[in-house]
Amino acid sequence: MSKHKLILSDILDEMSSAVKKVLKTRWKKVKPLAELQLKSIIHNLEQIAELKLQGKITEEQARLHLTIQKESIRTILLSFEGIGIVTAEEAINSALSSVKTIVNKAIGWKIL
Amino acid sequence: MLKFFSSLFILSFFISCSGIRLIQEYDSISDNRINSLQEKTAKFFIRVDRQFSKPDLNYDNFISFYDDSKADINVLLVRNRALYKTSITQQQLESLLIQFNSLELLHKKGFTSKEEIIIIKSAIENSFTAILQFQLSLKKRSNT
Repeated sequence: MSKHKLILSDILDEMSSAVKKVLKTRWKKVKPLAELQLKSIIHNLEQIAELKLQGKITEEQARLHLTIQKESIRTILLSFEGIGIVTAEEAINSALSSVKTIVNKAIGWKIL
Repeated sequence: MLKFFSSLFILSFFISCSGIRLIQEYDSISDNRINSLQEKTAKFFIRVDRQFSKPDLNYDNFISFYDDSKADINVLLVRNRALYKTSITQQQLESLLIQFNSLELLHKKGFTSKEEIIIIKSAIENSFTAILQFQLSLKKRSNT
């Protein structure tokens, strides 16, 4: 019947290594840019406080500036969330496809 | 054994469907429109920087830029609302719209220093980078 024994731990190992691989490579690329973006926003917030202290902008102007910065942080975090979901999706699909080979091999014919 | 084979059946169902989709598909029209809005905005900041402290910087001379940009964002929002699982792109566009509205109000009041413009430029550029980064990750996925 089956050519190889279907071992659950083998399947789980294969799935987990596929997930780790995807997460590691994707986050390595995203993290440095996101850090840079958030640092520049922090610098901007300091500048707004400075401009307000120097009386170069009014309270209302400072509030509008803060809104712009706040929304910028929001888009960065949303991007993080979106890329995270894409990464999770990739990891799930990669884990599922890694199982394909193991299962087909164990069954002895192409079930998946 | 029965439990194992039923799990296998469920698994095979998922694998046989062309992968699981948790988030929107890549939409090249949205991506292109965001890129062209980013280009338009970059040109706006170059113009503002060059005309700083000159009468040409007057808000009235930039009304068409604000009208066009806000219309672009609204078109993108309507398009994305019609697409499936685009909540992140929609929220990012809403954020961008708030940024453009605030920028317009600041411009109406008159920019008092170049630092002000640098701060706004950097925040809006960061927003575009984040939005395009997300679009790129969708594009990469659609190519794999």
